[in-house]
Amino acid sequence: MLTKKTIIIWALVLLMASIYVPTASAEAEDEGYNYSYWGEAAPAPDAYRAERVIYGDDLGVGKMAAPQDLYISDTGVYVADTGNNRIIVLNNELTTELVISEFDNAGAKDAFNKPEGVYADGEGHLYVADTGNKRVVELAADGTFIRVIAEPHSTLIRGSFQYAPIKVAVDKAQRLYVISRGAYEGVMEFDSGGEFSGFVGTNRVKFNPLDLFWKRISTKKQREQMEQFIPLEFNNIAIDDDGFMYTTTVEENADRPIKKLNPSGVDILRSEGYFPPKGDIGTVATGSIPGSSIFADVTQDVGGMYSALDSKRGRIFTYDKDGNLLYMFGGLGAEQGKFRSPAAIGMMGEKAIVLDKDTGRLTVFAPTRYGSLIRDAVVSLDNGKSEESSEAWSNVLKLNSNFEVAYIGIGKSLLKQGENKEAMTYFKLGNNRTKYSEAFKRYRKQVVMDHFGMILLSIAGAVALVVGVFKFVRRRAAGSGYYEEIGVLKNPFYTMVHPFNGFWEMKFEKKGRVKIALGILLLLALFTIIKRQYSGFVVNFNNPSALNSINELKYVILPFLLWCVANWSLTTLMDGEGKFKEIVMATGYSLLPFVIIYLPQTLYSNVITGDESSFYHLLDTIAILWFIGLLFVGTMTVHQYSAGKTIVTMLLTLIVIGILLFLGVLFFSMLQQMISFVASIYHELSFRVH
Amino acid sequence: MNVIRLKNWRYVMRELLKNKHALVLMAPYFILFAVFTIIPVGMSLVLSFTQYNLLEMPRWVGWDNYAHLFVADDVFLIALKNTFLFAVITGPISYIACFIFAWLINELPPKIRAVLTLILYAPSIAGNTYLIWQTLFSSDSYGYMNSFLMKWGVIMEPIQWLQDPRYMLPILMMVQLWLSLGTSFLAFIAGLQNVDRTLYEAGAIDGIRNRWQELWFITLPSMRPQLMFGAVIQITSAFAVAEISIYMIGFPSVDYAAHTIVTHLVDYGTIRFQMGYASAIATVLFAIMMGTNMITQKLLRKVGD
Repeated sequence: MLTKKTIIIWALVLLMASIYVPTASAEAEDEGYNYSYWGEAAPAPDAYRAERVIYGDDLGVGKMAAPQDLYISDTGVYVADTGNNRIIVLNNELTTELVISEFDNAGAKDAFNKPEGVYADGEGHLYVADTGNKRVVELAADGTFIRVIAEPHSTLIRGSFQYAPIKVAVDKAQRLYVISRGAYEGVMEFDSGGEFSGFVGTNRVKFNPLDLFWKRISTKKQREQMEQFIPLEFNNIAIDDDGFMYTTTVEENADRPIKKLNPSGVDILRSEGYFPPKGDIGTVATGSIPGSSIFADVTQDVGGMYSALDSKRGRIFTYDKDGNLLYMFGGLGAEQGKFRSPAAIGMMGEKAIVLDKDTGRLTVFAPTRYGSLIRDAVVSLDNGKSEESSEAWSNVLKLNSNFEVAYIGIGKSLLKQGENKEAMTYFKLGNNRTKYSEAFKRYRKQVVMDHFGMILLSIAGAVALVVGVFKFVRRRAAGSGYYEEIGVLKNPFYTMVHPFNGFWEMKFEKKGRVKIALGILLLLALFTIIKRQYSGFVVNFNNPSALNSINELKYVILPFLLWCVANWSLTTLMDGEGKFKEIVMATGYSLLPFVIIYLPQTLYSNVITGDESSFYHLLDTIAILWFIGLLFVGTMTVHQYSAGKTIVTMLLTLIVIGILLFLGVLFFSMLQQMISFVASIYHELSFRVH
Repeated sequence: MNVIRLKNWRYVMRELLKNKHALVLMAPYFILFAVFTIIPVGMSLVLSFTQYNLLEMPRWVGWDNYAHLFVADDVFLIALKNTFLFAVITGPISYIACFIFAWLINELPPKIRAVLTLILYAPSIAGNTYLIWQTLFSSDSYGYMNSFLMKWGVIMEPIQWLQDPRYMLPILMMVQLWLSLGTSFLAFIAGLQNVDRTLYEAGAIDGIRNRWQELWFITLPSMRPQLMFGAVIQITSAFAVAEISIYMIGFPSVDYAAHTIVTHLVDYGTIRFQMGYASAIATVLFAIMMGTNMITQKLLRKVGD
């Protein structure tokens, strides 16, 4: 039945639809993101968009069958068409130059057998990892045979080793680097004569000390039964212009799946970003695509950038030389610009080409305005042109104000120009504490320089004031007789420095008040909130957008109540003399050191640099130790225990707190279950009735 | 004004004449003390307001040295930070450790006590015991610490203990703690020996209930002089840490991570010969030590109430 209302609504909807014609229907939705400092994926404009897709048929060579590798250099684009046992060479306009499926080896016909890797050196010589034939073949640029680098034999290689070259790379000195399946010793290095010279860049075995301990104490027979710790094998390799090797490893949940090996095989990849360069972070172990990114290929880029291809989610992550994530693009899917099973990536100038082995197609990506701005900024910074880089970064920020790396970039150039205060602001926006510290240090120096006389005078004045007040109070106190009765209000402070006497007076001389204890607790809650909110940037690791004062209360008041209740319920069983009121008072009074220390600490934290933060943490430690000491003496006095029994009681109290928490959680989850049960019954009934 | 001055002056003279015998008896020590302590300290104070390089005459520059020290000298701020950390952490810990060891040893029969005292005191008389620590924290895989950790699979490759700014200060603190069971430890033992036994009986009658109260109300107040002496020694040694830093870690240390005020002083005084500047550093250090000593003495007066 159509009422008036629905008609009107429909009319409105139609009207809206006619007004709102989606203008960006031709433009794809931006799907990019970048990780903020807090680990949240902040949406970002697309840095790269698919320009065209090329199938084998477009190249006039027929369908590609499971192509495994792609290599791009000045001399052309090389694709290892593994399933068809051939190598396809394209020129830089991406049209076919040459297809090599067989060649003339010393008068005999020879062919590839499932070649999985291809590489070309500066002169255009092809190196093919001929996986099925267990060899690497070198061909001239026109496809004529030059030589075969056969299976290596060396004492360094295990007897059981099955040589299966899958990827190959050549450096400027004509040394050959081969990655073989099952070679967990590292990358195999061959000298220019084709002789095997050793392994480089072994992945370290990871194990924990506990496993090692069991291995130590087990017998030889048992040891043979155990699983072996073997290093992970590399699965891809790329060499940049400076002769450093980028390698990728198939490793779940590793912090360094990408490595940059120097000529002696040491990993020198910088990881200065918020997160290690490992692709997606914070991935969950469940869901449709569980687990961390798995990199299939890595390629070098200009200005120290490098891009890695995640075969699991089909995303390409580009990092700068410091390991900051600049942008990501790609993904899994059927449409243009997505992949089904991406296998290799290469850079042609600033275009990225990705090879999909499932669909046998090449996808060419071109940078958007956003992408080229980022690239300009990184490259000019790499060339030392901080002005231009700063310019580019601010343009990037106009397109994406969530891009924290840009703030850091601008901050760096401001720091170079000596604009310390502005640099501080930018580093704060970019959440870079070390750089912020550096800028703050310089700024502080400037301020102290300018106002040195003032500062000196004010310090002297403050000291004089303190001494004067001290003397005055002394004089007044001295006039009031010999023994001074400690009042109720003064008692907490007296207790802080004379715990034995103070708690004694609290218990037996009616000096304690529950109100005061609760007042201290509330003050502490307040100061904790202030500290978390306003302590200096260098020591404040709280996400300001996630701070919630009500939430903070549970970290102060809940533990306090739990402790009091747990302690009381325990000591009634362990013949402690304390009443609940006394326990509340003793615990409350013990919290006073925190109240005293937190405010000055918060003030102090605003005038320190990062390497002076050790004092800040020292103050924390002092407060905690003081509190524990007071709590110990308080518990001892209130219950009239011996020292040993007090320690045992306190530890048991902690256990009881755990039990209480468990029961609480259990109770609430039961309640939830019951509520949802009742609610579903109600729904069921309401459906039946209608 | 003048009248009062004259009066004062006359009064002083009269007093001097009245006590001339005592003054004469005091003179030898006083003269020596003045020549070897008061005058050098005073000269250093004066020099800290000048620029002096041992070759030319000192040139008066006023507060410039101090301004430069606190504002323009980044390294000094690092040194200040390190020294304070050092003093705040090692000072109290080693003071308390000294006392606890002394207290424990004090209960033992005399023969064993003598042996144990020697053992505990040995590190601080041995002098250059850095060697042991250098082998322990050697940066190659032969260092004990590294080889132990590697053997148990905690680390993969040797840690450069003495070159890594992150580990330097903690290691120095450990070594300092180990070396610090020195003079004050002996003083405490002597102090514990001197506590009047009858006081404990009196205390027991007056309502001392346990060992802690005994310690707080009787033992500590009775050995207050030794506690004072120990505190002064500990504070000065904690603030004047330099030798172990220079020998163990090298001078200057990597990234100035183990740079202390005294190494800074050594740098400017014996290497660059900027005596005026070095005097300013020394004066600041002196002021810090004096201040800490005063605070500590105030705290120690509270012992036993």
